[in-house]
Amino acid sequence: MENISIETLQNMHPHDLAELFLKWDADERHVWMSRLSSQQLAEMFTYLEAEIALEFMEELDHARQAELIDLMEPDDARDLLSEMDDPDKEDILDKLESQDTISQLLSYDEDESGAHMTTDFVSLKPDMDVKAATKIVIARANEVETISRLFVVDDGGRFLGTVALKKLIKTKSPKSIQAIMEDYPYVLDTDPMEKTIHKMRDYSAFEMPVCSQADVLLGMIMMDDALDAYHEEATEDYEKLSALPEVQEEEHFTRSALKRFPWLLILLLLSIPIAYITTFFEEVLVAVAVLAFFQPLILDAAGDVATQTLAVTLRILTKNPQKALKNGVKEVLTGVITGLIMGASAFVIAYFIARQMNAAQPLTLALVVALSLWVTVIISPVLGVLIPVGIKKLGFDPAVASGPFITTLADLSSLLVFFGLATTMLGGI
Amino acid sequence: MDYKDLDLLTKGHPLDIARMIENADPDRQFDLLNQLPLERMNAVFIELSDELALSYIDSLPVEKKKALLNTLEMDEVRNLLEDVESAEAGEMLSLLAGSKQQKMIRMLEYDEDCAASLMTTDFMVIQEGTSIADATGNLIKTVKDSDFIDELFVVDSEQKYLGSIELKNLLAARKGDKLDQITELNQTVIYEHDTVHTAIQKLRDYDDTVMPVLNEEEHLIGIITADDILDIMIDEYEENVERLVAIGDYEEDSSALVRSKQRLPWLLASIILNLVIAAFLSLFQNTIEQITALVLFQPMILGMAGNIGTQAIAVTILGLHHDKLGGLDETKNHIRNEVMIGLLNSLIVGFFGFIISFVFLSFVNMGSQSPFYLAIVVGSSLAGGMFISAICGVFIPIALDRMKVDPAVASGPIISTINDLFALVVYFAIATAMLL
Repeated sequence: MENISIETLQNMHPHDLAELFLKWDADERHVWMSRLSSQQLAEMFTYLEAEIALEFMEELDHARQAELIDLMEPDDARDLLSEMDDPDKEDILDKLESQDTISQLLSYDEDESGAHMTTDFVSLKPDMDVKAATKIVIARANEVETISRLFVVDDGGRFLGTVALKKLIKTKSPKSIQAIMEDYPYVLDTDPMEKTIHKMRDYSAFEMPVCSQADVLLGMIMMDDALDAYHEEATEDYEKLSALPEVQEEEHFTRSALKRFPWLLILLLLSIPIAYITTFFEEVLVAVAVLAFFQPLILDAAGDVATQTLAVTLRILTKNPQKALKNGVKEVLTGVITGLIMGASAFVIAYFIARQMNAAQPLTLALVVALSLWVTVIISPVLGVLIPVGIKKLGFDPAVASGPFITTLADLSSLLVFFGLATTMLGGI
Repeated sequence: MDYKDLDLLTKGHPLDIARMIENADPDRQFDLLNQLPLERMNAVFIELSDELALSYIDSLPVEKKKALLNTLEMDEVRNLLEDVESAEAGEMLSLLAGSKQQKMIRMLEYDEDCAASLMTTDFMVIQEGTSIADATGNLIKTVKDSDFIDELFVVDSEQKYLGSIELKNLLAARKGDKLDQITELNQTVIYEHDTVHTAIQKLRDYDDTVMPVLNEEEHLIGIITADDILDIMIDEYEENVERLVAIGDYEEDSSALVRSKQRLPWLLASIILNLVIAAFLSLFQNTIEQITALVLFQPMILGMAGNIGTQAIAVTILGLHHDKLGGLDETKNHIRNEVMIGLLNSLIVGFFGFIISFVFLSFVNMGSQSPFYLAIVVGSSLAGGMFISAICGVFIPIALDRMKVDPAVASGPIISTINDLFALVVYFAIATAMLL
C-alpha cells in the first residue's frame, strides 16, 4: 500500500476508490479512512453495497458516521440507514442534520418511488420573471444534483410543470415563467418504483418529479438512480423466476448451496401429490406400461406453456395490471392453436413409436397422447394467468410464489388428463 | 381542432403529443404534425411510430424535409435511415447538411453490439482556454433543442478530449474563475470499439448520466446518455426472460395467431425431442412393464433435475451478463463453486427423495417390489439426474458464450429436454440393474 500516494486517491473516481477498499484488508482501510476527506469517503461509501459499507463504517463512532451520512445524497443515506439495526439507526438518525428528510425517505417501502427520490431540487413560481428565475437557479445550482430541468410549483407547493434550463437561458426578459412552462409527467411517492422506471423510459425523462397525493412536489428521481434500481429489480425478478435465492458473490459454496436448498425441498415435496394421483391409474398403467414413456412429453409441454404465460402475465402485471385478464384470453387462444398443431405432429410420430414398441392399440395410444397434449396446452395458460393475478390480489409479490406452484399444478392437471383419457380410451384392454 | 388539442401541441409533453397524434384520424395526423413548431418537432418525432414518421417525411416537399431532417437528433435520423430502402436512405442522407452527413455515414458503419452505435453527436464542445463568460455566452447563443447540455465537453487545440464541465458549475462560476478550475479531468470514457455491454457497465458503475465516446486518437466523437442505456437494459432483461421461456419477441398487443407462430418452433422442437426420448426409452420397455411403480416418481425426477438445472443456468447467465466471468480464474472459480453446489444439493435432495419415496411406498403399494429397494433407486437416480443437470447448467451457457452465441439460448426448453433424457436414462438404467 505504500506505493499509492494520497494524491492518486484524491483524484480517483469514488467508484474506483470503492473497488480499492474492497481489495484492502482492515488495517489498510483504517489507515486510508483517517487520511481521506469526509466528502470523498462519503461519496465512496455510496458506491459500495449498503451491507458492505456498513461493515466498513463500523469502526467509526456514531458522530462520525452521522457526519458522513449527512454528506451523502438523501436517497443513498436512506439505503444505508435502512440496513442498520434499530438502536444504531435511531441514534445516528438523531445526530443527522438532514434528519427530517431521511426519516421521510425511510418511511417509504423499498419498492415505492419515494424511497429513491432526492429531495433537493430548484423550484420556481409561475409568476416569476425569467431573469429573477435565472438568478435563483444560479444561486442554488451547487446545492442540487441537476438544474437542466426546473420545477414550477404554486404557492401551496403543488406541481404545475417544468421549464427546461435551455429555454430559460434563451428567453429574454420580461417574460413570466408561466409563459415558457411545459406540462411534464410526474409520479406519486407511493407508486411502485418499477412503474416509475418504465415511465421515465417512455418519456426519456432524466429526472422525474415525485408528488404526494395532493400533488405537492416532494422530490425527483434521477436517471442514474433509476438505472441502479432497475438493474437490481430485474436481477431479482430473474432469480425468482428461476427459483434462486438472492445471489451473493464471494460466498462459500456450502452457504450458497444451503440457501438454494429450501426451494428445492419445497419443489420435492410438491411432487408427492403427483405420485399419489398416479396410483389411481394403476390399472391402465399396468396394462399399457409404455404410457410412462410419453409422460415426460405431456409434463414438459404443460410446464413450458404455463411458464410462457406466467412470464407474459408478470410483465403485464407490472405495466398495466387491468389488462392481465384480457391478455389471458389471448394466451388461452394461443394454447388452442399451438396445442392443435403440437397434438397433430405428436400424433403422427407417437403412432410410429407405438408401433415400433408393439403396443396393443398404436392408433388409440397415439390419439390419447395427441388429445392429452392439446387439452393440456389449453389448460396450462389458464393457470399461468389466474395464479399470478390471484397471488397479487392477496397482496403478495406474484413473481416469488408463482413459478413452482404453476409447474406443480400444470403437472397435476396434465397427468389427470393424460391418464384419465388413457383409462377411458385404452382401459378396456 | 379543439382547444384542448391545441393546448397540448404547444405545452404538452412530447410523448403525450405523439400519442395524441397516433390516435387521431389518419387524415388529420399530418395536419397536426404540420401545426407543430419546428423546435418541438424533434422531441415529438422520436416518439412516433416508425411507420407514421416515415410516411410523414415522405409527404413533405423537399425543402421542409430538409429542415426537418436537420433538426432531428442524429441517433433518430440513424434509426429512420435503417428502416428505409437504400435508395430512399441515399436521398435522405443527401438532404443532411455537410458535416452531419459525414457523421451519419460514420455512424451507420458501426455494428449493433458496438457502444458507438448508441451515441449521439448532439452535444456542446468548449475549447480549452476559453473564458467562462465566452463559454456561457456561446452556449446560450448556439444551443439547439436537441442538444444534451447537462455536461459540456472540453477539448484541446488538437480536438483531443480533456474533461467535462457540469452545466450547473459553469453557470454558478464567478467572473474571475478560470475554465480549468471547474473542468473535471480523468473522467471515465467509452471508446468507439467498446461493446454495448462495457458501456452499460461503465455508466452504471460510475453513476453517470452521460459519458463521452472517444476514438483511438482520443478525439471526442459522440456521447452516450443514460436514457438510451436504460432502454437497452430493459430490452435486454425482457429478452432474457423471453429466452428463458421461449416466447419469441413478445408484444402486448400481438394476436393469438402471432403468438402461436412465435412459440411453435420451440414447442414443436421440444415435442419431437421428447418423442425421440420416448423411442429411446423403449429400450427399457421390459423394465417398465415389470415395475410399473417406477412411473410414480418419474415426474419428481424430471422436475427436480429441471429445477436445479434452471438455478445453475440462471446464476451463470447473470454472471456472464454482469461481466463477472471475464477472466479465466473467475470462470474456473465459478465452475468449481457451482459444481460443488450442484453435488451437495443433489446428494441432500437425493437423500430426502429416498426417505419420502420409502415412506410413500410403505403406505401406497403398487406392484410387488420391495419399497426399500425402489426407494433406493428413486433416491440415487434423483441425485444422479440432478447432478448431471446442474453440470450442464453451468457448462452450456459458458460454452455458448465462448462460441459467441448468446448464452440465454441455453435457458430454453431444448436444454431442459436434453436434461430430461439424461435423468430418465439414469433412472431406468439404475432400476434395471437393481431390480431386475
